Amino acid sequence: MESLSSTLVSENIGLYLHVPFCKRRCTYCDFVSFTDFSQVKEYFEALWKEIELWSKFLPRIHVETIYVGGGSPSDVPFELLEKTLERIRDMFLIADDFEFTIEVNPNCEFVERLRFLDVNRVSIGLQAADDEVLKCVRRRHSVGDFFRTFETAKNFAKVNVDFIVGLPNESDRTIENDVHVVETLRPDHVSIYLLETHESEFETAISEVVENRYERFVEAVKEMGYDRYEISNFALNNSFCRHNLKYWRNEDYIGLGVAAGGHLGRIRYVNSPRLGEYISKLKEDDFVFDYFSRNDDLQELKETIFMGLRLSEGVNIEKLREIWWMFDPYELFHDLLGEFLEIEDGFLKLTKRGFDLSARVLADVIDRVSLMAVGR
Amino acid sequence: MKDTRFIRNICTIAHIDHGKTTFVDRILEITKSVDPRKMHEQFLDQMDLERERGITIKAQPVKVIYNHDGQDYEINIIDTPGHVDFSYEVSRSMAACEGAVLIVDASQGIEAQTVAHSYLAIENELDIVPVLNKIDLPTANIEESLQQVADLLGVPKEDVLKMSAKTGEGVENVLRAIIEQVRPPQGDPNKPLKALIFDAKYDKYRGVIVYVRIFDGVLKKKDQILIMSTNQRYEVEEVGIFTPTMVPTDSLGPGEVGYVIAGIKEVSEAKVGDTITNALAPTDEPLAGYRDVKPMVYASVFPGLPEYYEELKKSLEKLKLNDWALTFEPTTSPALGFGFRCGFLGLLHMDVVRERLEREFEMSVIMTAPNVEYKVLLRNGETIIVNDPAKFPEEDQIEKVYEPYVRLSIITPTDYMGNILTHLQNERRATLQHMENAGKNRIIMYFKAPLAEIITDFFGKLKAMSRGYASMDYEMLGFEESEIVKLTVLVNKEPVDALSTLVHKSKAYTVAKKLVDKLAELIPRHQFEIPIQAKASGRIIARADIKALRKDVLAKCYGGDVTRKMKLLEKQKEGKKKLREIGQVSIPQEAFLAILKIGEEEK
Repeated sequence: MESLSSTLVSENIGLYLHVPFCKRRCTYCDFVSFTDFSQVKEYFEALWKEIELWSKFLPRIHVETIYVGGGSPSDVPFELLEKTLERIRDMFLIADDFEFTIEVNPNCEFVERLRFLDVNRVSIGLQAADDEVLKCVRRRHSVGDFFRTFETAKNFAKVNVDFIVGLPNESDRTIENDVHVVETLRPDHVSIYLLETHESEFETAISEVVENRYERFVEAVKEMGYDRYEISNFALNNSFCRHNLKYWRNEDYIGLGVAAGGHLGRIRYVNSPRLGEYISKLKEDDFVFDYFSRNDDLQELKETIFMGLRLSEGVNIEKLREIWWMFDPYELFHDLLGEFLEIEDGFLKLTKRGFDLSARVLADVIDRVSLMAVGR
Repeated sequence: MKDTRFIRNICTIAHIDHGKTTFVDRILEITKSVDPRKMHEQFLDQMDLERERGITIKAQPVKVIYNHDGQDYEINIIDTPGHVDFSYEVSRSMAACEGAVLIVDASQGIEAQTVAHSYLAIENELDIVPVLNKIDLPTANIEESLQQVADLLGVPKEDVLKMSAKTGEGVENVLRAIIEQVRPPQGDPNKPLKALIFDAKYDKYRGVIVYVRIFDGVLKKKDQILIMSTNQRYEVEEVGIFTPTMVPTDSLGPGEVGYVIAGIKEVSEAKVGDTITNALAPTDEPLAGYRDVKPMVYASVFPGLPEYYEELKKSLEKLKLNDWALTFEPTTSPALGFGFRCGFLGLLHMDVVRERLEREFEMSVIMTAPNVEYKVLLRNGETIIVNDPAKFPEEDQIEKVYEPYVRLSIITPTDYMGNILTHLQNERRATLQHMENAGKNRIIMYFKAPLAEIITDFFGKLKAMSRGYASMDYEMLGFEESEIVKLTVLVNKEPVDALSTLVHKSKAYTVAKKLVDKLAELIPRHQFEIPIQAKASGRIIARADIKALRKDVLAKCYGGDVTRKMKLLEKQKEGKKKLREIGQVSIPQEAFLAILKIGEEEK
């Protein structure tokens, strides 16, 4: 950990807390989460220990954003979340204009209590505005539950609504419903994800029908005045998710909890995804890294490009040159520029088509950056 | 030396499942030739595979002693294979005998193969003992079947015996008939040795065990022998008889059936039909009828995983020790890697080899669709033989192409005749040559047809068209000029050699259409449109397009995800072609496999 203190860290960071419990798993999800709640209490105790450990390493740091994700944070006892926030306030300095987001499943009672935690941003996982689709992927709420939750949340917080395109039982009609929900509720922020289904290790299988639906949904939301500031994220009136922007701009943040990851200066780490290991190691006052690396220039460059290209603003080429002075996007991407990539005002960014084929374009971009470094 | 008057050598002729093996089992029981404790059902089918499939592939001889009117007779029974692929082996088994027991299932009646083999027996001048089996079955149609057999052989109905090999009823009558109706063998012990090889098996401890029938002379231990077609000399280590377990004897004399062990390393050195003589006092003339049988059907075999190539090679080499008809040579495919181009006698043989590889050698293998061998006369006057579409010469070098034809015989209830006839004429390029009645409401049809049309799924199709009632047999006629074209598949304008197939001109359009459609279904969409074209005789004759993929969005990516997602992408790029190589299309192995198999349904 000596390398951590020697690494250059900005004064403001984001804090991510992972709550890896769900009363029931949704069929499409590949995030780390458990349905056995017997260790919830122990898990939170471990989490508090981790908060403490980090605060010792970063004593004067300001926390600008907090993001509680999962899993289903709305499935665990409220008191545990309450205590967690208390610890954070005790251990870190919190910025005055901090952003505090929590992910919830549509659940009115739970959301009602969030205002007492100073939550100011609520991300509701609707996924689809159709009860049949929700049932099919084993979501535990109805569209009606969502409407009530939304009304409750918007009284005290900015609200994001999550959608997924490509779920089973979906139809053109259900997507129309999704569009209608956005149109009538006008949430501050919308995320529209295209479900990733991998037919084989290498091929993404998306049908033309799904492509068309995704396209229509995205275009409709843009027409309503939303800014597609990231591949899957749309904001009204600059209500960007400040926490997520830290990820995409490759700024500093720490992740707490199983499978959570962080980036501090040149350090990149990911915690163990194993619940038992996480709990037992922290009992012994030890971090539980599954991956820990001090990025070299190349790795840092790759990560910065990889995350930055997700944003419509793109990545600042100057910032990239600070990492690797020889970086020349004109030469490296000469045949991709125009169709998939563009350079505007010193920023390298994806075109509309680049957004659509981002998985392929990013794979190629990263590959070229690696090859550049070995001088090929 | 045995008195040949008290020897009878017979073979059995029957369609698959008509009860040949059960019949032999019953004889073993009646003559007490096998210890009842060791007797398990179908004693003669030794290989697991044969037992499981209930069919006999390899002939296994047996000697029994039967007392008839106070005199012990030695009866050698050679159990013949019952499938078209092995008809040459059948003919050689017959050459080792003086008589044949023709077994017909009373509930099924005669089948195409029975007819073909009966004619073969008549040609070989065998004394035929006709027997109706399974008379105990409720479905037995005794009168009708008796008439069919009588018609086939031109004998009175009364001469056809009736038995149930299962219950044992009538089996002794058959034994008596064998002794009374089949002539004893002849031969001179003082003449130079002439022994016919009618089968051979490889034994890992003793080398090749050669099954022989002695015609003239005597064969004994320490003899120097000569195999006449190869001119190879060996020293006899052991001779013996089958009881049916192998029992060594001092010598084998004229008329006798037995085995020879002489340090022969693989069965291809002692091919069926060849003659063994004494190296020191050789005969001038080998026995008639030896042919070097060549494979008729070719397919490529690849290991399930590339790293098992060496193991596959060893397995094939081991199989070859025991399978004289199998040929193989190394080949490569861009999609499947290193493998072997194998030659088989026919489809069953191919299936048997595949199953034996999987069972005996625990190899999982990928086998491509089979095809036949073509003779190509080039413009420069040279004639080449091609069995691999990838090696077919360019059209402008070709003067003429010849393809193998067969005489196909089909026996079917008349109800299905129309459909079969239409199918063969319209879709299999066959011409009807002759037909005649084969009993009440049954007909036998003779066609001339290209072998290529028969080796694909025809047998299955025939069974489907006739609800399982029709049966078939075929024999080679030779090569005939034909309009064969090479169908080349172009993916994104680039020819893909491994997808080439050879088809008759008349079918080029239909096959081409199916090929491109199937490929369009199997190749994943890329970020650009991909035309799939099929080309024959210099022209594009079919096309299908794979639409461009418009969305491949890397959806969610958060803090803990960065490394994982980047690794995922880096892994994907190995499989996916990079945008830089925008013109290239990655074709998954599944697509190759499906296409290689398309011939099985479509050709």
